[in-house]
Amino acid sequence: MSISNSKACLRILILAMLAATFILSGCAASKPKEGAEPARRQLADVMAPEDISLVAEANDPWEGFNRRMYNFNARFDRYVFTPAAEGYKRVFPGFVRTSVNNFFTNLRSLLSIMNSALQLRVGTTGRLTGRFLVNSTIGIGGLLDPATEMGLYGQTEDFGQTLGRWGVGPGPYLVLPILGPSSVRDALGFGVDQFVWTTVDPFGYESWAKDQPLWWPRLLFWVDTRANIDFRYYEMGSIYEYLWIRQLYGEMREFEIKR
Amino acid sequence: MLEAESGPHSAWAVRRFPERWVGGPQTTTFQGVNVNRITAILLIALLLPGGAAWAEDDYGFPHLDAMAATVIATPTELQADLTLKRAPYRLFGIKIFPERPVSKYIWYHDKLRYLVFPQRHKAPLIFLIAGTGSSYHGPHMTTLYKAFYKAGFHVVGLPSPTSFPFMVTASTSQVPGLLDDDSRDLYRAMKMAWEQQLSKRLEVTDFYVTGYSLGGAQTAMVMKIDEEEKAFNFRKGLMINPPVNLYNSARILDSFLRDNITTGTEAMMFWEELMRVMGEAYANTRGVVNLGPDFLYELYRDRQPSDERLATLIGLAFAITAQNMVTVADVKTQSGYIVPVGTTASVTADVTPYFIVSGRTPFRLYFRDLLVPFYRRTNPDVTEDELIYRASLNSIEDFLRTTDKVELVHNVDDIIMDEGEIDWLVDVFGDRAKIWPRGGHCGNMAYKENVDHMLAVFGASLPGGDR
Repeated sequence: MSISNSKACLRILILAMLAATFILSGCAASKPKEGAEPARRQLADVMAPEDISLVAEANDPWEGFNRRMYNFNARFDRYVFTPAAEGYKRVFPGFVRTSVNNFFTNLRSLLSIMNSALQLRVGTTGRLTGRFLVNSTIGIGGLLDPATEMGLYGQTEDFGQTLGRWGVGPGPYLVLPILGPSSVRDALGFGVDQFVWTTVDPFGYESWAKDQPLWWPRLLFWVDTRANIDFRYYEMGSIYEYLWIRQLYGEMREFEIKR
Repeated sequence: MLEAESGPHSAWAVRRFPERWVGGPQTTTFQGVNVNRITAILLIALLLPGGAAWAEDDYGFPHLDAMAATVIATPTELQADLTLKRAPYRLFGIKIFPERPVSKYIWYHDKLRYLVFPQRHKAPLIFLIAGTGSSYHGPHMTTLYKAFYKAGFHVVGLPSPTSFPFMVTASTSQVPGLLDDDSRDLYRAMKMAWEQQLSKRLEVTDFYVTGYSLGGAQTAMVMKIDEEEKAFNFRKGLMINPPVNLYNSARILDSFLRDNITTGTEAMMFWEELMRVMGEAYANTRGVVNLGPDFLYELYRDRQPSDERLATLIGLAFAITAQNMVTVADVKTQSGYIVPVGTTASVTADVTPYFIVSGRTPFRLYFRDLLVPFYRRTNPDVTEDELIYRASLNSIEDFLRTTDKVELVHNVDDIIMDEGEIDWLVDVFGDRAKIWPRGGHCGNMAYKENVDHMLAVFGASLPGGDR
């Protein structure tokens, strides 16, 4: 009951955000004014007929939706997410924040262990398992990270990567609410990871967390996650940030799948 | 054996010997001679730290060629110690043109944002001006923030007038490129930031200014404007690796890409490689990527590409800057160059064709097809040569010769300089110029000796221990 309950909430949240996105960004078309002169420099001036451009080849059939979502995420990030993360940084001293981050990273590393096992990557699975054991014991339940000092480096493996490992292509590019750049494969992978996480519910963490007032453990998880990502929307310095990020996301995932 | 030669600098030089000499025509000659020769060459390669016969000098920056130095910059172990225990930086934002409507498409650039490292006590304040296309952050800016903050300055970093946020929020013409107009925009931003925000928060003794690359050239012009307006009474300004003539330097940078990529296939392969490298960085830094040249160089720091690759990379980094300038200037001035006049901006629009066209428009054409026509709107008689002159330090030669407040650091082998330009600077600045024997374009900015010298220009130095 608890699972379906929280999932229903998540669904409502996502629907609300989708609605907000459409309201916020409007639906103006981008067409030249009628009767306007064509631009002086055209594609034909810079490209030979046989030339191809990687950016033009990208698989993004839902670009309009994706762009709107990207823009919504940027607004949400500027007015909600980043201020929350900044406030969190100002209120809590560094060692507390590090411990919080270590704790969540350690807990969620169970998913990485599962996925690297599914990818049949013996070395990574062993390293991540050793890491989890060391940090859960010597590291006082994951608050400290002695494993990294011992050379047991962390690494995130998700179900999207597992699918990629076994030859599933990324499919169309997809910008998810709040979570940002993704693909059909990776969004599916995220869903599978979430489902496994809430169903297995390791150490009863999720059932404990959902009974806390304001869901504060979950809020803390998201704020901690944001506080540890340096990315800021529209800081890249290019008016074509959407296209650059789309391209980079694909490359990044390919690199992560091979790793 | 060759691999035993370790260290990031020697590896670059030594790597090329086997290809050039061992794999060359010598191998076809008599074997005994050949082996001896190879041994001798290997010995020389191992004995000389840089792996080649450069003239000896007591400058400790690695013997990298200019391209490599520009990209690899200073190896970590040779950098000045700029670690900070705490860095209380704060981002500020200011409306320079309150009456200018914020475009729906670019809602996020509603203010000019700049970064401040404030001291807690009364201290001198230094303004930093970023290089072409760069924002207030990035590797070179970070070096400057830390060095000056550690040496006891309030540090205020501004984006380059050629950067996307500055063009949108603080540029009068929105077609940047002329030294005088861009510097006036900078000076206005500095004044407004000081009057409206900083003067209420900081206790300041004296004002200073510095900048690297194009920001170096603008430093001089800002000093000249301040001579007349005296809003700050800058005590000193330091120009770091400035171009003498923006147009010349831009043409050189344009050519790096054009001369090294001749076919579409090659461009494609390099583009794919660069995207792969950037994707890795994106994975490793969890999303921090900015498209400034020095960031792109940083990606290649440990990759040891060939010289052609390096040139291509430098050219491409510049092309990405030009791509943004072309698009933003075209739309903001409604010039109809790549985007038809009157096109409504919508966040959902597919702008891929504009991306491709502007990505393949070199700076030379930005100047000829956007900047010159824009200035002709108000002054139909102005010529391209006159505007090129206004984009150069030659236009303020008299000021540069006579002032004693502006100093210069540069490198003999800076890749953005045309023939004779370094000599011109030496002649103009005399003993106010410090020319290092190597370092490429800004590659040695973080090197210990350079940081010490840079601070010494302002009568400052790094403290002995950590602060």
